[in-house]
Amino acid sequence: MSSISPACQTLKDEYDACFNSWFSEHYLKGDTTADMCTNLFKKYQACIKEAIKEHKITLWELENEPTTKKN
Amino acid sequence: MKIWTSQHIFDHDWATVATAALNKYPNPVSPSVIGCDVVDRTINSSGVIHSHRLLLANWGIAPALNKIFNMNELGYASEHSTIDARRRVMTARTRNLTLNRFISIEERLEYTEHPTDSSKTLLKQEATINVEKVPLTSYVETLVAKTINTNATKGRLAMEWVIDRMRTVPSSEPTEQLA
Repeated sequence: MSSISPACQTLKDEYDACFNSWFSEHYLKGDTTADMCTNLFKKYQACIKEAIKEHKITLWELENEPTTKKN
Repeated sequence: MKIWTSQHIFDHDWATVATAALNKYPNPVSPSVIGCDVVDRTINSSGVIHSHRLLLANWGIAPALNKIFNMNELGYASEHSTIDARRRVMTARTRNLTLNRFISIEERLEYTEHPTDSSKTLLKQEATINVEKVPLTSYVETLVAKTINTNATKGRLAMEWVIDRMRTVPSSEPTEQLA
């Protein structure tokens, strides 16, 4: 799957592979500790947030929704 | 406002369906989503994963809608999802970001383990459509509802395609790769 920003593609691929592995090998088996992919996610997320600014995208954030409760 | 709802049963367990939902794109059945990034993801103390994804899609909307909105066919959407492995519930809410001053479409999905057969998964889908500041409002809403219905059918077929691929491709290969 492509990233919306080519500059973030490698970081996305590395993070996605880590997350998918953690999800099936740990999370679905009951282990919810989530340190495995934290470092990869931080790098990927920083790249994406930069791309969002460049593309001037205004996201839909749930905190803006008065009727939504987060569990 | 127009509301559209639909229910479906997948002949697969919840873990399989949730994994497929996370890896739904790209797929050849519904090729509309061409970009997908995780903007934020956290797991809370109850073990629920909250994700916010940014999607870029070719809307594939009817030519009539294309003319009314005078847009190219690409648009962004925000998807907020929750995955609760303990309760076997996955939810997703997706809203368009592009053109949201004129038309707002929110789609909600809920995947739950079938109450009497854990080898199956229930899907409830709901879409709400609001159109403003363009002529022929109810006509546009009806057209959008038809498009959503077509895409929902494709979406379910896409899930089946992804699940089938998960079973035939060795797990060491990333599911995102397509020939």
